[in-house]
Amino acid sequence: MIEFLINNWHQALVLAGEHLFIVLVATSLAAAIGIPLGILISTKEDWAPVVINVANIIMTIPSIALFGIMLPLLSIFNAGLGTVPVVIALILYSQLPIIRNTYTAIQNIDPAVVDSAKGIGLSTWRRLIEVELPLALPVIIAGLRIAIVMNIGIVTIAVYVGAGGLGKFIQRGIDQVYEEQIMAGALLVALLAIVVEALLYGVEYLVTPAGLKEGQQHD
Amino acid sequence: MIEYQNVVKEYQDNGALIKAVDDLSLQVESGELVVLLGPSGCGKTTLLRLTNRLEDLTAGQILINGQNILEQDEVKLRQKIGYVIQEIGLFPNKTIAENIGMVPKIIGWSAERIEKRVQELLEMMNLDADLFKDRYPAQLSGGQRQRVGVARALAADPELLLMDEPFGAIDPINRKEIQDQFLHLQDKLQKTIIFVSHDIQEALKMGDKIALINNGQVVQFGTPEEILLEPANDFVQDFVGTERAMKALDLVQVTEIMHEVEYKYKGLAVQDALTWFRKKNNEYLLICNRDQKPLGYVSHQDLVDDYAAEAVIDDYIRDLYTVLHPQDTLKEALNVMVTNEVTTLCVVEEGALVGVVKFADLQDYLSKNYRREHQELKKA
Repeated sequence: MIEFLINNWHQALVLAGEHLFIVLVATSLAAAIGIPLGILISTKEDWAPVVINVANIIMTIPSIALFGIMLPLLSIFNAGLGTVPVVIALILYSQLPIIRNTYTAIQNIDPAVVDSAKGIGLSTWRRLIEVELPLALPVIIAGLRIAIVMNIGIVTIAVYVGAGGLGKFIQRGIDQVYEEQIMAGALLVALLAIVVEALLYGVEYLVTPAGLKEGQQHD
Repeated sequence: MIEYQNVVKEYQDNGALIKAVDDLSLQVESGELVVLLGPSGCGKTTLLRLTNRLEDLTAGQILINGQNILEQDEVKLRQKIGYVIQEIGLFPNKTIAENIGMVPKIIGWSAERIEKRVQELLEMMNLDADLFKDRYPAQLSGGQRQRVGVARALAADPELLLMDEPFGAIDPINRKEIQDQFLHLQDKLQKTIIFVSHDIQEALKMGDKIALINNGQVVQFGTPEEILLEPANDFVQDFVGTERAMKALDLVQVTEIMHEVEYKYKGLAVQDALTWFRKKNNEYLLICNRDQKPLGYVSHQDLVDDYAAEAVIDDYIRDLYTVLHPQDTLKEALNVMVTNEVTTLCVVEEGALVGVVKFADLQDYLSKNYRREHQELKKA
């Protein structure tokens, strides 16, 4: 397996790059939809269970099945295969962790902080920007981290609808009954997930407001 | 001035209609600290939150300096009103300086002006500005946090302050200190303050006036003395509790019952002192130095027991272990008398004698109020 990786390191890098690119583009788009949606349902309590349940149901659809459903629909636009269906699938799957974490993070802010912010005259926007989002950010980033790690796994399967990525090693290995190649693919996917997760843990720590970090508590 | 005119607040709770505030009218004058006092669920907090529109009125109106609060933008209205709650609610992601400077920043003060104001407010609250301004709320004790909460409410110098049990979560020793400090501050600032409390002692101490509230209505509105000594009905009487005469001791300062006393200066000849004792038929004589500073007292018995014809009384002076100050209350005077086993105390202002309080004066005051309480009980 080591030998396979040494001989194919250039291709491995290209595939890993492709893999990461798809994940990052899709998760960014997912965040652009999910975070505002999470904020919205934290202000409109009635909508919260509906939105979260829909996201939950989407999450239960197996990815292969989802690609199958999208194939005929996207074929109308001549995009049934390739990167487009993968990105759409990733956006849909990411909604649950992103919306749920954003919603929960804002919900869990100390009501006294929100009440006093309102009471001294912060508008809804001000409250969001000065207080609620900074306090919620670490939990929102945690949601993104869950989404990204999950998406790294899903992209591996997406190789069957013609997307690139490290799944190619696994797919080709299976076709050629080439065990080393399958293992190399699996190892690289796992490695990618671990590295990205570790990096995002770092980001989570960095965005935690200084006033909330441990070791600062009085008493 | 704040005018509550026939204010009603209703809300639905599991299908039942609840009247939190029920046709309530009340007028708070400028510069006055009014305590809204009552049992939990009486509507006092709701009334407070109606004032800065954290709750919406069902009916009636509230005027601040003649202007209807509903005719103003609610965010702008709140920026002009200080707001302090028991849980404080400092922004944990902001430093103390940023917390205090929040409203000034929003209404467009310059960074310099905000910095100066933060400095000034922290000093006003007896917090070392250089030490605290860059800290986060989590690094402060409860008492310090509440001081910052008050500073934040005062930041943009609002005319009106709304305080919802602001000192309720602070331990008793710190609470007394922060209450005293706040009263001292209010003496200077003269803000119009609405202060919610469920604690009769706190209300008696803090309030220029007290509005006792029950079932969303004002049961009695008056000065602490009026509430204590002339309760309007059984509810007020029950709420204020027994021993009203004793509680009144806490409200009255020693200056109200103290009286003048004859004293002599040091250097007096023993002969002259004995003459004085004979004439006045007194047991003790107070001795001061030339600038009215009380030095101690001389006992008639001491002079008789240890008589020396040529002596001056300086050698016979006994120490005054403790003295009172004009702002001390009758309760404190009583406490000092009992713990030190004395029956007369000097009241001293800036080192000079202004009068004395005798145990008999306290007794008179108590029995006068006790008789009043007793008569009311008999009537009821």
